[in-house]
Amino acid sequence: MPFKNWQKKIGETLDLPEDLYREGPRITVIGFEVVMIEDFQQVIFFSEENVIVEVGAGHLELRGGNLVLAQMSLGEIEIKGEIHGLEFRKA
Amino acid sequence: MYKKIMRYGRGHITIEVRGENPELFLNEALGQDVVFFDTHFDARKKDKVLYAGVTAGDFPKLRAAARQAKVEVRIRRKRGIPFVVSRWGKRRGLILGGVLIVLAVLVLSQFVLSVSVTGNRTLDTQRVVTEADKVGIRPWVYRGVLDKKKLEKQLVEALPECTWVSIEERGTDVLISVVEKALPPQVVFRGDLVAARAGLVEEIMLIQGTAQVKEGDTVRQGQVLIGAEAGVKVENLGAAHNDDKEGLQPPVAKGFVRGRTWYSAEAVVPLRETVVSATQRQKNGWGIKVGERVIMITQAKSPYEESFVEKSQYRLFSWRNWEFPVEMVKVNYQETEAVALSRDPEQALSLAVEQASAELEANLPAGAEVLRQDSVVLPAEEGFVRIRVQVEVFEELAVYEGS
Repeated sequence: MPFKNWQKKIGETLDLPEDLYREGPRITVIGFEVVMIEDFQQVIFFSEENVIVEVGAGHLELRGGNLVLAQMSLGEIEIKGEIHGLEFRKA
Repeated sequence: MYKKIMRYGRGHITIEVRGENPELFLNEALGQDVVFFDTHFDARKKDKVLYAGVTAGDFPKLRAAARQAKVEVRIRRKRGIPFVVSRWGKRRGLILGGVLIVLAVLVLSQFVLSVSVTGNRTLDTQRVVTEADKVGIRPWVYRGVLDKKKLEKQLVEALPECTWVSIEERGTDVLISVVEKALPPQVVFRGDLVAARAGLVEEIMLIQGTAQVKEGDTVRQGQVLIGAEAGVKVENLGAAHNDDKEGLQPPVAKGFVRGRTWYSAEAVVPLRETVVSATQRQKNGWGIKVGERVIMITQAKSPYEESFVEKSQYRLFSWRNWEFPVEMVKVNYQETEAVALSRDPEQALSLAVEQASAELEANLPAGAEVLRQDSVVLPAEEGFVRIRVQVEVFEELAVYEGS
């Protein structure tokens, strides 16, 4: 896609914040307990030990224990609990 | 915190989602702009039940999502102000009762509900209450119309036995405080008039009876001055003649006998004396008092060898009848020392006269007129001054026997 490439190039040249011109979600991890994902598409699977979320670039799998979706609205999700791992799977 | 308060203000619902595909339900609902809080599974339950919180406003949007995902949504718990309000809205009777109670208290507190009397010793409480009723202080009178200043005046007039009446509203109780007049003792006429003390008779005024002495006589204490005699029949002489029986008085003496009498007092003053007097130095100690127990925090003991000790207590705070059980205690220690005092004989003499005169003054009967005063120095031990002050007074001698 020429437009996407242009976007990326201009962004890199102008030193813009990466989330403005790159594809995919912004994932914030606070400590071992909180993960916030902005710009996600939908929840694929949810249980106490696993959360799988679809994001632009593919799937994001979160492993842990006692997971709770502390807050969830369109495009934004906050997951709390013991977090053991994050796995990125490209589509 | 702020978010939680806002959520409580808007009201939130905890829902229970049962079904094969709760994720689909969540995604569908998110598409409707629903915001979920604390979405979780209950680990203790075998079957897969999802719990989630949504605001009350979002709840109706879940219907379509639930149908699409083929899940069952149930309300588990409702929380927040909108639900509290609607719950209270259903308890009309309770609210009505509460309002009625408040109204009843408000209305009833506008009236006098009881009248109490304090300060009366010989006066009958019932009489004060009756008089108060007559001037308009009675139960079920609107408190707003009570003009206390005016009513106090009216009550004083209605109760001649009182010098002072105060009306105080204590909530719904009207407290009438009275101060009774201290009436002078009534003179009771009975029997002979005798001499109160030895003296020289100078004036006799005879009203009833027979004079047994004449002017210029010297009388002993207890000697009969005017002998009793049955009086004539006197009518309408008023309250003083209560013991009259059909106007005929019992034998009684009446009159005045005045004469000179003498009083004296003695005083001894040493020339050398040790006096305890305060120095300028003092110190304060502080402590607390709980019930009967005193705990001194600073200066538990006097820092001086000899001292005056003065204790004072302070209540920290109180409200109506309630008092804070802990009191502050302040102890003031004032250093004292023994001072050797020596007087020259003249100083001692004037001090002795002063002391003796003061003693004499205290013993003189009221109404006695001092005619002459002189002092006599008496022989005393070495180092002492002894003096006697004598006065000659003119006073009433006649009293009723036994009084």
